[in-house]
Amino acid sequence: MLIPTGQPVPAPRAAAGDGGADAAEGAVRERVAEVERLLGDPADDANPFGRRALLDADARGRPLPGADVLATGWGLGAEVVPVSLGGRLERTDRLVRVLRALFRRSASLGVGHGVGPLLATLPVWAAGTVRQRRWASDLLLGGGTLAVAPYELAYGDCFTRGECTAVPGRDGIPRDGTLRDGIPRDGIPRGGILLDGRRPAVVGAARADGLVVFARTRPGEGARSHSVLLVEAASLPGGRLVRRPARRLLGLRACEVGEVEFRTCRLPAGTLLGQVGDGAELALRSHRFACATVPGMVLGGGDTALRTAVWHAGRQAPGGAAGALSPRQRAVLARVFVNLLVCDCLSRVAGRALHLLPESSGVAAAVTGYVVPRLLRESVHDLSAVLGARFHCDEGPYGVFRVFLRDLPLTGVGHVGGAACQSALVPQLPELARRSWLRDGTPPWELFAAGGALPPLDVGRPVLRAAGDPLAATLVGIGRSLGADGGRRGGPRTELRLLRELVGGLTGELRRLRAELCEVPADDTAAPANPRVQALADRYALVAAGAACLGVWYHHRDAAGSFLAEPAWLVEALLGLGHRLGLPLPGREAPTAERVVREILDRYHSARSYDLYGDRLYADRL
Amino acid sequence: MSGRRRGPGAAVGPPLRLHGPPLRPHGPAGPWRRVRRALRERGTVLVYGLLDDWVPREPYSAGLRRLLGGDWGRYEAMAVAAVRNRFAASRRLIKHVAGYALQAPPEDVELAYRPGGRPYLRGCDHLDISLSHTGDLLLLGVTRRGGIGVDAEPADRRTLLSGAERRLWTPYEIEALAGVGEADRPRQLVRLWTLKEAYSKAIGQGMRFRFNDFGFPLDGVPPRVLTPHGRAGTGDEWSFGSARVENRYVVSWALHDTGGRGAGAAAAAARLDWGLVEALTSCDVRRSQPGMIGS
Repeated sequence: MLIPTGQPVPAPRAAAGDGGADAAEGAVRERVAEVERLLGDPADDANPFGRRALLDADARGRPLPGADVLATGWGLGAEVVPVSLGGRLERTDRLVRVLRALFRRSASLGVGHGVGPLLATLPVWAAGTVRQRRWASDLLLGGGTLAVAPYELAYGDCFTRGECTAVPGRDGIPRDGTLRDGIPRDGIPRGGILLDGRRPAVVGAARADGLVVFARTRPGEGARSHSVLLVEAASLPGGRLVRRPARRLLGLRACEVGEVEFRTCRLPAGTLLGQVGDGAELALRSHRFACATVPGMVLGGGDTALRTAVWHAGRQAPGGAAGALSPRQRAVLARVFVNLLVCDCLSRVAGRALHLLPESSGVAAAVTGYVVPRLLRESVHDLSAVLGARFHCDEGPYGVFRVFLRDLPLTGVGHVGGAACQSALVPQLPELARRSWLRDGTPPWELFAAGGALPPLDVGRPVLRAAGDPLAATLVGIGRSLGADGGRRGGPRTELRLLRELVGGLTGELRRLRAELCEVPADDTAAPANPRVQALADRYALVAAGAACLGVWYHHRDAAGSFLAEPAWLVEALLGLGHRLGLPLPGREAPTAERVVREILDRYHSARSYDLYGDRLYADRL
Repeated sequence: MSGRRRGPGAAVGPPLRLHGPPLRPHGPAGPWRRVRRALRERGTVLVYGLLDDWVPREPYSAGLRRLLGGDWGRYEAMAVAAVRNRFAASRRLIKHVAGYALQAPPEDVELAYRPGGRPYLRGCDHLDISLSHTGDLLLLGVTRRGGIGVDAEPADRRTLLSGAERRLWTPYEIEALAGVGEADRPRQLVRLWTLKEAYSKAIGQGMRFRFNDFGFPLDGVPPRVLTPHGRAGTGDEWSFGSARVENRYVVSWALHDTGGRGAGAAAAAARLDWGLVEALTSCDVRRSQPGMIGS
């Protein structure tokens, strides 16, 4: 599907724009609106999903009472079950935006009822037998829940700590407590599996009907040290599976998190997902999918944080008019909204790449998981300059803001995500620099679009090193087109000149990166651990983020009346990314930040989301 | 994977404490033993240096150029020698400390700057850093627990509670300071100021966050952020502290625990999961039954 290098970049088909919608996009909007409606008025103290209820649950450190209705009454469990198994998981854009609505209310809600079940099911869809997949899908469609004790990461947080060991074999417990050699290589062992160990923090442990457990099946390090089990909680005799509340976490206090201990659990051989030793590979597959989708969900919290700041600024402004913002407030708000758009561009591309370019999707996913949490955290902190003393207030919208800020590092894309994404990104870059950058043609335009038909998702596809880099190719291809068409399309002349300059700067950075990465020996297995190579990966990730924004703008630039078609937001986005890269930057010769502020206020007053889509939110503005 | 099964993770544990007082390596030669131990055991270290120890002997050497990397142009363009020296000294301190933490040569550590100017270790931001300088003191905080902010001021700095400087303090602080004797007030003010700067830097705001929008209690109770009227503004995830160094500077730090590793290796290699790296780079990727989603 790649267009050969040297060919002119074809004009995208008429873009749906952020105002228009095709059937697929319409269906997503409809479901988002439905979830918004079900979650109800955030300001209503009697609403079980309102601010008062969420803050009370957080203060008590208890799960939100009645939140089980999300799975049992609203069918939210179906969002993570493939359509082929009777669920609604068919497209990443729908998955991301529906669960983003949960994060707009609370990270506890999003993690407990969205991300947790999603991460638990991915290994089942990827490697489960027909029976296992049927069991899991029936469970979720019937209002039951699955929880996961994920792959233990070297640099993880509480969710990836602790260790379980699974001993496949014909008989008993190893007397010396160590693992045995002689694990059957040819598939599932006949004698069942013995599972032991403790995981200190499992999302949704108490109510889970099934547990997906990444357990060690071989001592030492290496790609084949772990296996994955799908454990039916009800099948274990009493006392073998012990569940207790986890130690109080630093955040996510309205989310049910429990400790899980397996005490010499004898499990049938059919418990194994995939084959013995598949753990790291299945973790990579789940990780690729999660990196491409979860950061985009968490952005919902950033939306509410920005909305809170706009609301606060309006209250403080003379006459309560949100339009009467101080220059400092305008600058901060514009920067934050643009950062949210950068994050959403990456999220869109990474999610759609899973459909459109699965063989090359790993890099966009890793970049998304690496860049979005950092940018989001910085952006929410930046809003402190607007909120002032209210930054520390724990009531009403301010309280929700503060809880989100505290919860953000635990949303599964923070500390762990960064490390795991680096593990997925760094080893691939030297090869991509040599083989793909400045050579590959531009990817299909559908990568940057909203809605439209998409090829089916394949969660089970093994993760290989990326075959190409669609984002680097986009930067080079569009950069060439921008120079060729003389800036006649896509906006005012000054903005387009700025844009050409900024895109030129990013392309130059890509060339420098290529030269430096080509110096890394192809057979240097220690290179990923070198801070110099890790710094190159960081610079690449920022360039790739710019490329994702450029692709989205280029796709939308002919959509009349669309904010995304204007170059203002893109100029601001590339200025921000260029600054982070330390590139020489052109001056702000056009009122691009002002245009962004106007859009922020428009969306605030019309209760539309702060992302690429402008989804309609619950009628209350906050 | 040596860090597995260690540390409380994101669970609330006892308040974070530094490993003793701020440490002083006397230059690139160290001593580094206590710095390494603090990082290994606590995940956080506060280091200070005096300019004389860290100003490069040869201001335009190839070695310094290699060490400064992308900052070289900025360094060369600095017209005032004192500013240039302080810049080089602070970068040498950062890169040597970070190099020890990452177990890499200092010139392999790249510094980058966030909008607003806050430095960070590019590609290695599992280690957060914060830098402050005043007089001949350089102060550096390094943590992998989450975020850190540090500030240093001369102990005899005169800060007023009246006039234009009144707007630097919250109503709660003004009231509390009014009850302090004249003799003790300057000490309290310097301590409060450094805590405010440290916290503001830890959340990436520097002076952009107005200092009368948040405050701290006076010395004597465990420090925490307070709202202008004295209510608790931060939770268990934050810890703060102050100390006096070289008997003439007051230093403070603000530490944000976001669930990063408290103990274990901080090396760049330890951040990567080698099981995942090997799974990715291994050619022997066997295809299992694909799970197609969609129609």
